[in-house]
Amino acid sequence: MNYPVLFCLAIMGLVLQSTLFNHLIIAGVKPDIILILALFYSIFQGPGRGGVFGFLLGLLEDIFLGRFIGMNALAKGLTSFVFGWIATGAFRENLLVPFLTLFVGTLFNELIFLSLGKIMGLTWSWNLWLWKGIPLAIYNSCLVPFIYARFYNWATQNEEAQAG
Amino acid sequence: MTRKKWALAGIVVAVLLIGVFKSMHITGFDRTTLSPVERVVREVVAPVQSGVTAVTKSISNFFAYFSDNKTLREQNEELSKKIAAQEAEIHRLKEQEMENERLKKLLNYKEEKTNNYQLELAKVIGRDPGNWYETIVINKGANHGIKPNMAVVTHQGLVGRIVNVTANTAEVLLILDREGAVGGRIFETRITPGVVQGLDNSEYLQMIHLPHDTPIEPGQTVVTSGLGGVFPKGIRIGAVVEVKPDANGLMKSAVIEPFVDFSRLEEVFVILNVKKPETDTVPQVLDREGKGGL
Repeated sequence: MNYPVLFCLAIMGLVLQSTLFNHLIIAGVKPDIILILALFYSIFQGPGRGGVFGFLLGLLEDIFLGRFIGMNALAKGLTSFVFGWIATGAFRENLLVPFLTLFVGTLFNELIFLSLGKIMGLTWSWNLWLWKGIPLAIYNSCLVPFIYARFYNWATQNEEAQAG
Repeated sequence: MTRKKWALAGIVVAVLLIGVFKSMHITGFDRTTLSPVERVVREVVAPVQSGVTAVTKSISNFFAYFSDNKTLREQNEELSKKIAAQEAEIHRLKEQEMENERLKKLLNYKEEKTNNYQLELAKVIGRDPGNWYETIVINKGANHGIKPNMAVVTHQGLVGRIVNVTANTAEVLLILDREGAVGGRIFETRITPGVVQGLDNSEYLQMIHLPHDTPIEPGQTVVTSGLGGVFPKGIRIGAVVEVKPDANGLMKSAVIEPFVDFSRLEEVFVILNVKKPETDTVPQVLDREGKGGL
């Protein structure tokens, strides 16, 4: 994988999420590009690398936010690890794999994030998991047809280039 | 040539000239009918003329189609460009008009509150990238005198408070966030202190911890109470839209529609210094658009 490109994509994703995506809010949520990147990466690289990459992207987001640094890192790292492990051996050419990974992975990530927030003393109610998690899981999954093919081509080209 | 022949030729020429002149004379515009010879010639030639004319016209039209089409296309392209340029201009002017309108309202607010607050105008440059916090980032920071816990407002009402600053930016925690709770009271009754906080995943607020016998009803205006020391008292927050009792029966809560349209925040004021709280003056109670009402 081309890490500088992935890093640039993550930065771009953060900037877009804080600016342009505010105009794309549906049902009170906007897509989580960072999580999408982390989960796609995990599908290709497995739990170990996926977990580390998810953690680093989450940390980047936390630093960008400047608040509760580590919350996104933990949530996204754990989510990427778990779903990288589940997706191991899956037929990643099938569009259903990233679709299901993103849908369930988003719900999982939001649950972890909400739990961490409550541990940190934030006054979030558990209902928020449904109010935010389900629309976000649907929103993120709906982006699969638009993003996954490009990511797949780019990732496989990188793998072939590395293989020689 | 002999003399006799010269004479004959002269006579022929003379007769011919006389004949031609006579013919010219009798075939002028006064004539209403043609001679048989002329009629035959014309009748024979007419179909040929007609055919040739038709073909010529078709060919002429054929080439004219290309030249006209090219001209039309050029004109079309030119007009399309003009329309696009004018549409862009109209869009730009509309944007400017809207910005002017917003800035005019903000300027009016600043002038109106000049005895109350020292205000710093800032532009909203970003929002929280995630879905869990309700924050915005503004383009003014420590270099402009902004510090954490300063109140942020617009001409419509209370926006939130500064939570952190860099040299040229600051993050504002909106009152929509559950962590951005603010002390509020009912303006009309001047009592009824309560806590106003965000309502989960909604653009509404809720005022909690209200005693069950509190005189509060829909339509009343909620302003900051000044308790807690972060927000100056008397800043407009929103209007009560619903009052409901809590499950324990001892307290009740109210749903509040904020005056500020948080989805369209583009410019805000940071209150750098409070000269005189608003409650010492007649509070300005406006509707959500900031135009009048109540």
